[in-house]
Amino acid sequence: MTFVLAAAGLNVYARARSQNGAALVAIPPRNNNGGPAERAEMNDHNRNDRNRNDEIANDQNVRASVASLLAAPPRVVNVGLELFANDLAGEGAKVVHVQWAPPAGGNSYLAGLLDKLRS
Amino acid sequence: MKIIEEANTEALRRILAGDPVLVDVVPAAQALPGLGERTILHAGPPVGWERMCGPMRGAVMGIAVFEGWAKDLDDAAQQAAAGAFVFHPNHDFGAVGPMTGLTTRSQPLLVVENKAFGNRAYCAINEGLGKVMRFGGNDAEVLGRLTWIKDVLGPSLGRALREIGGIALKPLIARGLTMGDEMHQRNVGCSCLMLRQLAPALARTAERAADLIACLTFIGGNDQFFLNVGMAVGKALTDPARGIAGSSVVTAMSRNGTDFGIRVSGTGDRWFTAPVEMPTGIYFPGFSEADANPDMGDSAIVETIGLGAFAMAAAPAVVGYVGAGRPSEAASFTRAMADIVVGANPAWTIPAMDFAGVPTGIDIRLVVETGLTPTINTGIAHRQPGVGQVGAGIVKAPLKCFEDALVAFALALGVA
Repeated sequence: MTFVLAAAGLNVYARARSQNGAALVAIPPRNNNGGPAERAEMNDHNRNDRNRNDEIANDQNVRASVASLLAAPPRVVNVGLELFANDLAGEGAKVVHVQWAPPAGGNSYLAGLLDKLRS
Repeated sequence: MKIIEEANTEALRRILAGDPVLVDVVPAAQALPGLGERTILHAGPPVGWERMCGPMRGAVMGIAVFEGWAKDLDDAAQQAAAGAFVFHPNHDFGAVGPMTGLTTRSQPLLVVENKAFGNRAYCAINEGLGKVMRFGGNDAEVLGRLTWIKDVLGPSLGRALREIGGIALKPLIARGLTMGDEMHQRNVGCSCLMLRQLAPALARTAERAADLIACLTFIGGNDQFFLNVGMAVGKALTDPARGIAGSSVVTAMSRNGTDFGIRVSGTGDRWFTAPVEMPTGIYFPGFSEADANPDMGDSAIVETIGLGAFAMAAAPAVVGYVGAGRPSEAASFTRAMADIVVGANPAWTIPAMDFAGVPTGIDIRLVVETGLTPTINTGIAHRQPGVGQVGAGIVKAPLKCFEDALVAFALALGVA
């Protein structure tokens, strides 16, 4: 999911402390500086060497994006537990629920069988 | 895998190509030569007396008296416990039966022939509503009705059907879908269409005016008369799809009140079973879930061919009857079932969904992948023998049946 959103040009933050990595926050970048720089931002452990000016510019874009996110009403795509979508809708947020569950309910053996039967 | 896709395409093709015709009504002993004395066919996967639920036991006791194998209900129960009767699933004999679904030698059976493949399927005639044997009823009134069906209604229907050369059922069901039927809990449209075709032939072939009046009155007063015909259609259409190597399409879903069982084309006639679930629904006045028996009947064969809960969008009135929500939500059931099938039936379409075909060909891979199990519309029997129907509702097939089937299917293909 993270890489799908990043490939679409969004800045993706997977380090939301309160959700302990269980949630993703995706916001559109103010300037599209290309994929690799934004994706590298997602992962502290795999930071690439790059030009310092690019780092500063990207950091400013991120801050501006975060600021705009916090200033505007939230627009949410909720994937998985419908309860979250219901709660958000109850608070008046714009939310689209995507019904999704891990294949085979997360049973890795059955999921593996399904993969083999698909190949 | 290519073999699976090709096999499933063939399984679906066979189901959709079927041409079911109601050709006759004959005694079970004539239709099913292997059905011997003291042999009782039942709904669902195999089950013995010791594990049978209350209504199934009640029906067994009643049918033993009806057939003359026991002098009264107590004697029948003692004989059953002593192993005096032989029990087999209806499915093993090319038959199906709703709820307890008992089939024995003397009962007249509807005969549905699949003209496209030459196979036949059988089902007893629907007894009506309320206190009937299929819901575990077994008193003198129930046995008296069964005797009348054996002596009068069955032979009358047989003469009428032979006289007109049978009734084509595929177009009749198509018409019923446009009239608000889903062929499981709502059959009033199809029952009326059948009566319209049968009535002139019944009149021409009647031996006594009083019998003609009784037959017309009985059929005309039974909104569920077509249920048993539709079930035989389901069996007739799915049987040619059995045993296709590599096919993950379900060929039978059935319950005996204790276990739920499925069969899959690629694994032949092997049953994959799990404990049945309790339906959720609406109860007749004076009854509640505390009185209810868990899910039972061969009638899930209707959902197996894309009708029943799979066609709920055609029958918004049934949503309220089974306590499944608002009529406006009927289409959501059909759309959900479309996620676990291999195709749709172009001959059976739903006007409210822009004439989309009913979802057909349950794929065990999709069930396990999504966790979305088939929904089934069903009647609810009292848990005690001898009482009868207490409500109607919806129930889900247990996921375990499909998971076990997937493992066996993968083993059969050599990938597990």
